[in-house]
Amino acid sequence: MTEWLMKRSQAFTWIAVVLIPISLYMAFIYAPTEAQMGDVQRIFYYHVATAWNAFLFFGAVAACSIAYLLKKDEKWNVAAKTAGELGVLFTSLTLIAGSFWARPIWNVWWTWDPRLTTTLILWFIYVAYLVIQANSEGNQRQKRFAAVFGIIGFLDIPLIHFSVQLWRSIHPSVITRSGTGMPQSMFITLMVCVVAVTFVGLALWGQRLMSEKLRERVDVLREEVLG
Amino acid sequence: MNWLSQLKRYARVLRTLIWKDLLLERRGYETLVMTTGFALLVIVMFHFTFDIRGGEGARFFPGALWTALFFAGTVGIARSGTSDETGGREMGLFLAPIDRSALYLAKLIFHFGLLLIVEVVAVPLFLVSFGLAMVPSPTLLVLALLLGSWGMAALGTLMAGITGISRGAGLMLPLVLFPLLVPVALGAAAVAGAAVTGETTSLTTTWLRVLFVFDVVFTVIPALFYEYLLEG
Repeated sequence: MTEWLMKRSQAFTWIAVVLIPISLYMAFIYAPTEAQMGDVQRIFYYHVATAWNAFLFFGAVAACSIAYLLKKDEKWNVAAKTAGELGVLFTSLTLIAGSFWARPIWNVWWTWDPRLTTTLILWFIYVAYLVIQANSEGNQRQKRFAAVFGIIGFLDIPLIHFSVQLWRSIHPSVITRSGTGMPQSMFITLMVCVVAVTFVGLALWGQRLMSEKLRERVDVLREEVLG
Repeated sequence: MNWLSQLKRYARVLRTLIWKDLLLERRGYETLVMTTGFALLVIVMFHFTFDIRGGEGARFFPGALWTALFFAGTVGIARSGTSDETGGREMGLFLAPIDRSALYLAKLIFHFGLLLIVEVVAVPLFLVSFGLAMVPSPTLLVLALLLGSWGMAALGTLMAGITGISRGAGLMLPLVLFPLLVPVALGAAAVAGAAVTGETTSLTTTWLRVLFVFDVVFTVIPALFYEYLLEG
C-alpha cells in the first residue's frame, strides 16, 4: 500500500492542483451566502474537509500500527508515523479555522463544547504520539511502543467523545440522521472541498513516504562511503 | 480441572511478581513517601492559589482531589514503572517462562495499591482542609476513588513502560498519559462531586458506567498487547 501511495503521489498532486481551484471557486462564488451567518460560513467547507482528513489519517495511524505489530515491516512504521504527522497538521487546521468561525458566530475564540474538546484532546494525543516516534530512531522496541500507543489512542477516541458529550454540548449538528439540513449547492460544494483536500492529504502522504525512503537510502549510502 | 490449575499457577506468578515490587519498595518506601508528599503539597498549593473560603469547599474539592492524585500518581508510576530497568531485573523477567500479561497485571495491581495507600492518607486530610468533615455519600466517594485509580494505574502502567526507555522519561509520562485519561478525569471528578454535595442524579450512574467501561477496556487491551512490547 505504501508503494501504491508513493507511485501515485504525483498523480494525486495533479488531481489536487486541479480540484483545489475548483473547490475555491465553489466555496467562495458558487455556493450561496448563508442567510444568518453571512460569508464567514464559507469557512465551513474547508473546516469539515480538514476535520475529515484528520480522522482519516488518525485511522490510518491505527491501521498501519496494527500492520506493523503483525508484520514487523519497517515500512508500516514509517507509514504510521507520517500519517500521524498529517493527522496533527489537519487537526491544527481544523482547530484554527473553527476558531476563526467561532469568533463572530459564538462570540468566543474557544469554548468547551464536546466536539471542540474531543478534537483538542485528539491533537494532544497525536502530538504525544509524534514525540514518542521522534524518540524511536533506530530503536525497535520504542517503535512497537509507538504502534501500541497509536492503537490505544484511537480506541480511546469514542470514550473521550462520549464522556465530553456527557459533560456539555453546543456545537451545531449540520449533518444528522434526518438529512444534511443545507441546500444542494452547499452540499455539492462541501463534497468537492472534502475530496479536494483529501487528495492534498494523499499527495502529501505519498511525498512524505518518498522523502523517508530517500532519507533511508542516504543513510545506507553514507554508511557505505564512510564505512 | 486443567484450566483451574492454570489459573492457580497464574495467580501464583502474579503474587510473586507483586511481592517483588513490595520488597523493592520496602527498602526505603521512597516511591510511597514521594507520591504521598507530592499529593499533599498539591493540595496546599491549591489552597494558596485559589484562596478557598468556607462554604466553597464542595465546589473545588473534586477538581483539586483529582489534580493532586493525577500529578502525584504520575510521579509514583513513572518511578516504579521503570524501576525494573536497573540491576538487570528486566532481563530476568523477560527470560522467565511466564505469561507476558502477568508482568503487566502485577505492575498494574502494585500501582493500584500504591494509589490506594496514598488516598487513605491524603483524602481524609483533603476533606478536612476543604471543610467537608461530613460526606453525604461516602460509598460513592470510595467508588470514584477505586474506579478512577484503577483506570489511572492501568493506562499509567502501560505508558510508563512505553516512555521508560526513552530520554526524558519523567517528563514524557504526563504528556502521553493525561490526554488518554480524559474520560477518567471527567468521570471521577463528577462522581466525587456528587458524593460531597449529595446531589446524585442519573448522570452519576452514567459516569460510573463510563469509568467501569474504561477500566475494563484499558486493562484487557494492554494485557493483550504487552507481549508485542517485550519481545526483541
